[in-house]
Amino acid sequence: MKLIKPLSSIKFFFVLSGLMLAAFIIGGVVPQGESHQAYQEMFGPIGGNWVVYLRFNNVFSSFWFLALMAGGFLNMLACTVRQWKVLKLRPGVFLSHLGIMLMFVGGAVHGIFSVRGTLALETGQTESEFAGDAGTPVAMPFSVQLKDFNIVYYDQEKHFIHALKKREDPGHEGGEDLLESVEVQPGTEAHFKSEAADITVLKFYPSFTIGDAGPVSLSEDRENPALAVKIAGSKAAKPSYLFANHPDFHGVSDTGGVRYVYEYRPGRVKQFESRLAFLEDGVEKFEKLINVNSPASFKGYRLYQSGYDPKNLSFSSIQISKDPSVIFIYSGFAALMLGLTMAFWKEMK
Amino acid sequence: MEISLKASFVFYAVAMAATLIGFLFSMPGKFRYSIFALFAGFLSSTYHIGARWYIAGRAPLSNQYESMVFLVWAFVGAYLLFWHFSAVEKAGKGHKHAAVPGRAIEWLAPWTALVAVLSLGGASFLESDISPLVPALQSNWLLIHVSTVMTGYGALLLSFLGAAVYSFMGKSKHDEKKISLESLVYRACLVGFWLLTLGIITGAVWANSAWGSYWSWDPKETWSLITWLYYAVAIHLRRTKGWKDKKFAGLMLWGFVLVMFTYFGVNYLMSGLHSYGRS
Repeated sequence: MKLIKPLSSIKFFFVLSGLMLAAFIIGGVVPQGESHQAYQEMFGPIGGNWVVYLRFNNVFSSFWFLALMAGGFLNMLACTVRQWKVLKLRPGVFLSHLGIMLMFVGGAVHGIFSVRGTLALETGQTESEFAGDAGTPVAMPFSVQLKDFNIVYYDQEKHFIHALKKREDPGHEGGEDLLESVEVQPGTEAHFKSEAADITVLKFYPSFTIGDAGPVSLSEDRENPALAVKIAGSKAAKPSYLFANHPDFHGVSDTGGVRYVYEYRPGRVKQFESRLAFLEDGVEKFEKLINVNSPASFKGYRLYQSGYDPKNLSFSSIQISKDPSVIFIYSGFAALMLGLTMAFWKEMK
Repeated sequence: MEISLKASFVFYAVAMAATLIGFLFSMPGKFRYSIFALFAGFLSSTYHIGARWYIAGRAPLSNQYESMVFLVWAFVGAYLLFWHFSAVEKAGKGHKHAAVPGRAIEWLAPWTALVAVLSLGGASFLESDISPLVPALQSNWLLIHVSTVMTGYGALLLSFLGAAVYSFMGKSKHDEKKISLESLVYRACLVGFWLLTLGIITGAVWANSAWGSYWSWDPKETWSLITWLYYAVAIHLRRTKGWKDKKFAGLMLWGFVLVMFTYFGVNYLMSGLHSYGRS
């Protein structure tokens, strides 16, 4: 009981709050989770060593930060016990303190019991374990199969060919006039109404490079978009190549001094979504389409759409978590809001 | 649509000019014209936000420009609400207790207009195109989270403004207007703190539904918590240690520096889960 008085004192609260503010500011200013070498580059060899030694590189999981949080919890608990008679008359203050204590409890439960990691799936792949945040594999009491992955666009990607011709103005050298712009599709023929020759778009290379057997695309990622085209009337036997990133590469065609420039307009991603099947003992229990902001739940695990690989559009990255602390945290949120509302309402009147 | 925001700008400028002219010519009711102009500017901004919402098909809260326009709207709205309720209280209760802000809030009208003019002027330099939402922002939580945080910032800005005016007032402790202004500073702080708490909570719930983690110690989250804890300590200092008057005004002045850093500084100086807010 002797300890309750100093633990519950308002002075202790202010000291703790000052230390917490300092800890938050350190964690908010010093980049977190970088390598030792990165800190040495940022703060010099000695400064970098101190940052790591004092755990300023991982403030929010350091022993001293957790001790501060424990101190905060004890301060509130002791204050509640000691001031119980007063707090009974001020339910708003009591509830708001209770809410924060519940969040401290939730934080502890989260640290001890929560499981979190990433499930990396290719279309058709089934997995019953995922890579935990600590790097170790974590087994699930069920299996997950990625049935399909899909990207939904606001606007699909577009390909344009612009026909340009050197300006016939003796007073101005080097200028070009835009004759016409046409949207094209790979595998189709583009017709120009102007003097520009018609163009057949043979193939689209998202990431063009020259391989052993000639032009290939390195991946589906749009790193170096190029079109293989055949210009009507051209004497060249092989296709010509137009590059979105290098508009001057192709030069002027031999069909009338017209230069063709390829413009690639990427699609704007609206949403990306995975169709998941949940299996137990090899039997499919249900199927769910998940996307960002719309997760799936099964047996206490929640699966969140987190990312994809533009180079491999059959791949989906899924965050998975099992967190029994959520009930404490949400109860804390509710108690805090209700408590503040009651406490402040009285003061605002 | 943009004309409505320009009209707001003009109305807020008129609100400033009305007080200035009133002082120059010793006109009675000079603040009243300022408040009318502020109200007109607020209505015009309301139309702007509504029209943008209708055109975009979503709440206009997805980037720095939209959030800043909303912040100014919330700030002026908070001022007008405090003004309205102070009038109601005074009319209803007479001078029963000195804590009623009374008409001291009218002193803030030209300063409110000045902040609104400067903020809208600043917003005009930002990218104002309506663009579709990135996947992470496609949630009803966008409206709930951002609007509560911005309205909280608006109330804390009002507290800051009141504290600034209070700090430059004379020394008389018995001046009723000074006492009522001090009360306004505290009340605006309480409203702002309540909304900031709700904003942080709604952000945590949204993060949990989108990413499976209610707290990630991302820079915006960390600095929001710093701001929240600072105001919590300020309220405790006032309630338990009697930090009122200039001490509390000083706390509100420094507190708003944290609000500004959380809002602007983190967006431009640090990268994290809230990086889309800077565009």
